[in-house]
Amino acid sequence: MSLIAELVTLTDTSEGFATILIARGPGTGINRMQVTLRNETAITKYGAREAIEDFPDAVNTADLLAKAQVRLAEVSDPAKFQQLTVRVAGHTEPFRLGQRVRVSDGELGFTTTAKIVGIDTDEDGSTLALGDAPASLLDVINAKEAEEKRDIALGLPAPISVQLVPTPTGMTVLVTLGANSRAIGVEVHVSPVNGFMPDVSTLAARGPGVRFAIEGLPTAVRQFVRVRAFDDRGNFSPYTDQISTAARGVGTAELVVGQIDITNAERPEAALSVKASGGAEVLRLGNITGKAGVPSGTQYGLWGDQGTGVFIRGVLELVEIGEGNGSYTMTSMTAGERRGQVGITYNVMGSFTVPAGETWYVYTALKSVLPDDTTRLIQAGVASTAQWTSSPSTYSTFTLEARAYNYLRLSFSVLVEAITGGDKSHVLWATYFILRKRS
Amino acid sequence: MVLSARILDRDRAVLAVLPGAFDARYTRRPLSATEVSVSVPRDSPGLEHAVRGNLLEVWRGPTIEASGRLELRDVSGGIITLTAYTEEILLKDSRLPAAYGAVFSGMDAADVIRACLDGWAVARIKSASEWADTTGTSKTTAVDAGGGTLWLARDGDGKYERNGYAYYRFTAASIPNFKSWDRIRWASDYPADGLVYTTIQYRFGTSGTWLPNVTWPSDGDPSQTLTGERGVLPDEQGLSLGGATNSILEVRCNLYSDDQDSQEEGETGTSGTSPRFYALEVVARTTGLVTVGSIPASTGVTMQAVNADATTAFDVIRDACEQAKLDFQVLQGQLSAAEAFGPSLVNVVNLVTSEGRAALDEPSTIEVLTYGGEPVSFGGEFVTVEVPT
Repeated sequence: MSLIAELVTLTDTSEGFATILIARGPGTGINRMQVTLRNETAITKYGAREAIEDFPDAVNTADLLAKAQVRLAEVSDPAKFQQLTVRVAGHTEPFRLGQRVRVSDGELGFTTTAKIVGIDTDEDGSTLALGDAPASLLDVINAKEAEEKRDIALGLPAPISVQLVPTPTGMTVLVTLGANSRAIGVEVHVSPVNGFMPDVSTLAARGPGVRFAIEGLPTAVRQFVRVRAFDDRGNFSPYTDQISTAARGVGTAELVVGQIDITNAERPEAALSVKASGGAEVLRLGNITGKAGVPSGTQYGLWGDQGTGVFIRGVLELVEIGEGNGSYTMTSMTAGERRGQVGITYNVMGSFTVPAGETWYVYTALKSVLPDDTTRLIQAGVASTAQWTSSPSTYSTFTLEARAYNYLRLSFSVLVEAITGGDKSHVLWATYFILRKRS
Repeated sequence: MVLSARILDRDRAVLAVLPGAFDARYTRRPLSATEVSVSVPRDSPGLEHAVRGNLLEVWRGPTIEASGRLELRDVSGGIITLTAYTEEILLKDSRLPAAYGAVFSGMDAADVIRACLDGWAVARIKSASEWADTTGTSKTTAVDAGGGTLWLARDGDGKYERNGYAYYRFTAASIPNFKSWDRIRWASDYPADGLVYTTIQYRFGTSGTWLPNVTWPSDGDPSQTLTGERGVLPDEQGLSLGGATNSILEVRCNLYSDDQDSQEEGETGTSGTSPRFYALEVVARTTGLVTVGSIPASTGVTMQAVNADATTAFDVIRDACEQAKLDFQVLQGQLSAAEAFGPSLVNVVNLVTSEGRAALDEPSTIEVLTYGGEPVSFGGEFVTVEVPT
């Protein structure tokens, strides 16, 4: 049986609502059982709200805990804290306290059951106070309306394109709506905050049209823009993703005094990026996690693909570093004899060219000598046989001028002394590195 | 100036701005949490965020006028009316431990106000099963009498041991939003007859010296060495832990008896006497919802007779402000206490009643305001003055 009823009151309140219950057993002060129960689900949704309640008839901790759990279930249920009254006009079968009835409200869009907890009847009808509804009706309504709004918004697509053209003191926003959009206008939201959520404080322009001039923006401060469309019924589309630009100031496009902030640096895309025409990223400053060759655990830095480098005019750069060895044998030495050997060589590089405008510096050093216990090194040295020789020494430097070379070869000279007689074989190791300087 | 309402989550992030808000109302009263209400159309975007427990702010232009926690929603009239209580209400969700007033007695009112901004968490051992659940023990036993007590064990001859101990572990991880350790409180026997004794010791961690490491001889013959803290008002003030933040706290209950000879009623032999621990409580401080704003360094008013038996932080702060003749308010999560909020307006505002008796050439020189021909006194009263439109 359906009866015409009018919703009189639908409210909820937090009076008495709690998500944490401190339950105390019999006794006084600290000399009593006490347990603290938390409804974590309700705390997450509604916050921590403490209430304290005594259970003087609790006989032990388990009993106190059981009683407290029952009580917490009641006080942390928002449905228990709503007031619902309806007015039923005319004379009907008399209602009784405790009866459950079904209540529907087409305008608010809910249907629920509830228990009659109060009856006020007069000549014109009855007002029923209803309780014990199974859920918070306001939460139901809120959730339902939010869902409906989302559904409606989905039917109104966001603008399909937004372009920003910086001007000396602002920007021009060009908006393109879908061909069949029922939108009658758009809202343009502007904020200097990266990742901002639009609200009335960020609304910069609103109305029909597709071209909006935003003026009065500070130069060199990046502004983020999001746009949404609206229809003639007040429904809004979702917002577009944010795009950004900065008022360019007077003159040609340039970076002027100010700063470039990349905030939310943890985000993967938080970086300055340089890409080749094919779209491949070749240089990146900022968050470089996951880029090829970046060690695990490194999040921020400057990354370059193979083929990139850092070049600063006039600063020495490393060309190559390496080591090699040459060997020699001195035959028929007598004990105590000292004998020199020149031209112990090894090749460092094959053909190469020192480009015009560059000077290469070659640094060499004898790294080790491996004599057996029958000889000892008296003197040693190196020289590049391609151009120069030098007096024997344990290290040497020389310069390569700009031209083409067939090879770079290091040549050692040594003087050894035989402790015992016989043939003596040895190996000399040399380390080298080459630096270049651009003029 | 445009009036607007904002809904914030409990971390104060803005969830929605209600552009269609209207009929914003709020009241302010000293030492109170008062109502803030605003009505919005039911189709307002972002209204789904208006749920119990979230925060409501009322702004006029760039200035916040009132803020509070959402407490009541009403859709009865086809619109939704949101009612919040000003943020002082957040302090009502923080409960003090039982019989805590002695902790505040003798403190400056400003210090009491500051001390009430963090929350409390209590871990109590009372029932026999809780007493029996020790981390370590020697010669003690839990007895299911008097709601649960800890006694000395009996030796092989049926006599109570001369001394024993039990200790219990408390961890910061088990306390939500733990901030620091506050104090240890206990209820136990320490009668004046000098036959039985109880003391408390603690340590941070699972090893090391028990503190306080203080010893003195008992009164018995032969006497024995007593160690630890006997306490003054042990079940109220207890033993302060100084705000330590260690992850583990262990508390040791020491029991001593100098009586192994007395007879209990109905006994044929002798058994002596055991002291008892009735309750042991560790109080921790938790991170509060309200932080310190502008609070005087001191008020010069020492708190007396503080009623703080499981009452709320709001009640204690209100009492402190009343004793120090201050008002307090919480705005955007910060509590400030002062005699007045904002500068004096006597040189700026001239309220002229319908009687018009106070119309002066220089508003800054008002000295006498009359109403109905009688001088108006402002001493501690609220005066409603009608300003003709």
